Amino acid sequence: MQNIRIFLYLLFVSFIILVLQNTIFSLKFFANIKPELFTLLIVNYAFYEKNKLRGYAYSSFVGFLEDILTNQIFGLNIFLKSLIFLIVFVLKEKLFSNSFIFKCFTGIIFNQLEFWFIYGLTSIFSISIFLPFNDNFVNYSLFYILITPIFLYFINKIEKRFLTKNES
Amino acid sequence: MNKNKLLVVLFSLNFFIFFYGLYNEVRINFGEQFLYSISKPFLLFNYYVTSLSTSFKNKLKTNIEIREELDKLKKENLKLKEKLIQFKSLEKDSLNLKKILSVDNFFEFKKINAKVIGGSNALYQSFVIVDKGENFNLQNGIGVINSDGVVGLIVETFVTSSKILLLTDPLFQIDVVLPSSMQHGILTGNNEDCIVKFLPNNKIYRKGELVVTSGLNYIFPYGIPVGFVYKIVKKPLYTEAIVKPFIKKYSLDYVVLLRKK
Repeated sequence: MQNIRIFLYLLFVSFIILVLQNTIFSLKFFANIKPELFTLLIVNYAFYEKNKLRGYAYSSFVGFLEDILTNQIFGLNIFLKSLIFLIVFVLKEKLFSNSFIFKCFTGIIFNQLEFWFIYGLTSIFSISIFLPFNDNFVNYSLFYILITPIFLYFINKIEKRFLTKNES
Repeated sequence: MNKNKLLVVLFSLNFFIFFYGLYNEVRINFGEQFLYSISKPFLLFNYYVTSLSTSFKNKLKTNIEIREELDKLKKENLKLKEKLIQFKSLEKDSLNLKKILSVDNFFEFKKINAKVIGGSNALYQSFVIVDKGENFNLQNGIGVINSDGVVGLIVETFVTSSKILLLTDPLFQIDVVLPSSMQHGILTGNNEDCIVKFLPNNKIYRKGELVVTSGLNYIFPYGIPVGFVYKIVKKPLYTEAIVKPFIKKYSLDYVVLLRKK
């Protein structure tokens, strides 16, 4: 039952992220910056999840969803999201911290790491990968720092509704 | 199977998929239509907002430009107003000066209209007869003009008629001036045309120059046209200018007699 709940939760949030990215964040007001909210979802999920294997599989599934819905290179997000989940899961166990600020901090850090990874791939292999940011990296980073706590706050609320409440 | 082993298998599978996709640039797009349908209204909204904002910006820009131009024009207008005031004062001054200096060319003469009733164009006798004579207090030496210019002089008066010596007669002599060079000379006739005699040699005269009366002898006022120079003859002591008169001596009908007041 829990597995299905988590699955539905991830599916629902992924849908919300897709809608957000294609509606609000496609407005000129945001300077065409489409934040990679899937990473934040994975980070947040990694803090919640206790089963490493299940978490890894589900984060791979989120990556798969992103890959097939956003016209990315197939496998890129499957690999990245599962890797992020794994690292955050290990970090969480080592640092024993589940605070909101730590989540935000981790989310921002991993987003930056992902950015550099994708940027490296595009420059090394000279392939066209959809970059979720604008050319101006500083703008992108600042925007991400602003958006991360807001998004994580709402995601936590949804998480409580979906998962934590039913557990208790 | 151990959990960790399974994890390693999954990880390697992911890694393999990733590299396979990267190597072959595999792209699967299921959500294109769906995402497009979601984002369409927002994109339209975005388009309208941006077009509105750009039009507003353009309007603002044009408004600023118009304001700048208006300021410029205001400054220019002020300058022009100042100049206009100056010109008005100058105009007043010039009018006053004109009033002071204005000389009516005909103020000394009374104009009497007359009709040509006869004439002769014999050699050394180019004259016409008009229908006004002593009954109009006409005397010898009265100048005669018409709409073309100088016609001649009254040389003989009768009770009801007068004899006018035409300017083409060799006996006709008046003082004339060439306005372009301001040189005086004596105009006389040679039956067909006129000759301006005693022009100084040290000046340059051109063909087509206008010849007008000088007003020195009080027979004619200043500036009545006589003819134009069409030939210049240089002589040892002076220059002669052959002048074609404006009047048509064979078709004279009405003339004006300039009687002194």
